[in-house]
Amino acid sequence: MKKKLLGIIDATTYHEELEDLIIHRSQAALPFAGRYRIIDFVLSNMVNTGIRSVAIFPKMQYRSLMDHLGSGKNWDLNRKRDGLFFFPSPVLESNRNRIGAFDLFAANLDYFYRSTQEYAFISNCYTVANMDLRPILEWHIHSGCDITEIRQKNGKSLEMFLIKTSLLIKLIETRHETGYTCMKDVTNDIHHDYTVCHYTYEGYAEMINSIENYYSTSMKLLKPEVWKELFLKERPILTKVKDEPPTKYEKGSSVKNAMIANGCLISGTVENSIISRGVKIGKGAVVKNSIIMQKCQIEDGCYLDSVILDKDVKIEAGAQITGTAQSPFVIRKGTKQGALMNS
Amino acid sequence: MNTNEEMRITEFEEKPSQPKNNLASMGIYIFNWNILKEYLEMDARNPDSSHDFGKDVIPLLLDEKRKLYAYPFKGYWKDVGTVQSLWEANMDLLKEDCELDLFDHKWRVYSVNPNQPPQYISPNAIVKESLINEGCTIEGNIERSVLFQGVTVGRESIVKESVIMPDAVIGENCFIEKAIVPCDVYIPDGTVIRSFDDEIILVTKEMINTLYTA
Repeated sequence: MKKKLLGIIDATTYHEELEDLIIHRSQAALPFAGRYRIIDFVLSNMVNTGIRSVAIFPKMQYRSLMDHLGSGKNWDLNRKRDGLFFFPSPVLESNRNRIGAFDLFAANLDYFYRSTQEYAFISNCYTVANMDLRPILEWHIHSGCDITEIRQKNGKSLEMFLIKTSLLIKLIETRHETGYTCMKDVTNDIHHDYTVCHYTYEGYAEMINSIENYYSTSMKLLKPEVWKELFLKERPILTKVKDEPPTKYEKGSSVKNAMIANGCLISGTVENSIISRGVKIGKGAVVKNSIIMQKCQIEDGCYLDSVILDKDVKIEAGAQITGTAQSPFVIRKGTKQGALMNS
Repeated sequence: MNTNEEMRITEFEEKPSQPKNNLASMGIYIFNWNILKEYLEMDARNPDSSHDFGKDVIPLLLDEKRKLYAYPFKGYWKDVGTVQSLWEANMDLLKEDCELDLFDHKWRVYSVNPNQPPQYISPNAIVKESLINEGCTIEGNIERSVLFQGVTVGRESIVKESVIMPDAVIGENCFIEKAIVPCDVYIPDGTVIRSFDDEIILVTKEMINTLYTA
């Protein structure tokens, strides 16, 4: 596999429906499941499958993504040969909507020329799945197709593609003549001679492209049958590890049906929620049906229901904030919410 | 050890049966390198020496009238050389006013951090005054306990005042009190482990095997 397959992550996407959560970060760096960034899933799938050369193409706001990935050490990609390649866009952000992934690939064509891997796996950065790529590559090779598009059981594209590296190079080189800006353009067009096949992925997969499905997918993690499909011992989802102490459940705390990361200090009540690393929940505070990201502080006596708190949010004592499952109340990164400021 | 008013050490005994005061050596020393080198070499040449800091090197320095001073350390300190003291040190962490603050970000305690998903606390679980690490799946009752990474506790099981080490699996309907369960130990459904004389139980695989073959 390592000799055969190149991993390419298109991290250029920007979904407006996620705006509140991706203003300060690339969509690929969206925190998920208490301790991960969304890109960890596709990156781990590649690494667990044996891919040793991964190229990431981000477009904007990639500081948090770079900080997260570092040298690639946590994914065992800090290697002398192959490894993790990060190719930020050379184009200014003002053009962002007109620039397709192929333009970014073109700016770094050397990487493709230099790679010895025969096939390339091209993926979006925002799909939550624990996917073994080996059977899919086998299927692609045996089918003799030029391009394989991976689809969900419901027929929806997962925006993941298998293609010969040489054909990918050709598509990039001829993008001005063909007008193709990305793989989706190629598979959606019927006026070409390439054979495009569809592989149906039977496992659990969810694409995170709106606040609503970010919230509902997060809540589904609380079902053991779902998280058992995502967090497998033999194919772990790798992420940046931090030195946090265990989570401390203090006197008077009550926690039910929750996923909780390390380094939290919990004195209040938590129900049906996802709590990230280093969160503090004060005495008498109640957190229900909510997603609380890293290092948030929820002071004594607060009441939060159906809320998403981005990183470093501080909720002052006694505040009450309520959203709904369809429209969770989102509080942006680093803000402070007082008892008298709520909606 | 005994000192004068200026904290200069006048007497040093290794683990005396009847200590003369409560000034105990923590086994942490700062030396001037030249002196340490000289005395270590001297000690190495002595065929009668047991080559121990407390028993040989420090007493020799004292005999030679070198200047030895004690620094009275006031923070949390515990020697965890026994099962009992290891258990006590873990229980100390659960105290609300624990002097050893693991949550001080300015003074992090670094370790090897395995890649594990967050801990999962089921709808039926009850967790009280405990420390729980990543990768744990908790479906039972945890009270005043310390759980390392990757521990599983099944339904209706009760874990009280215990230390459960990495990847141990505790089945359903178990009762474990005042025990240390080492790494990777599997405790079958319905197992009862409790102490009747307040001594901390160190669970072993052999112990579990005997329980289930008797």
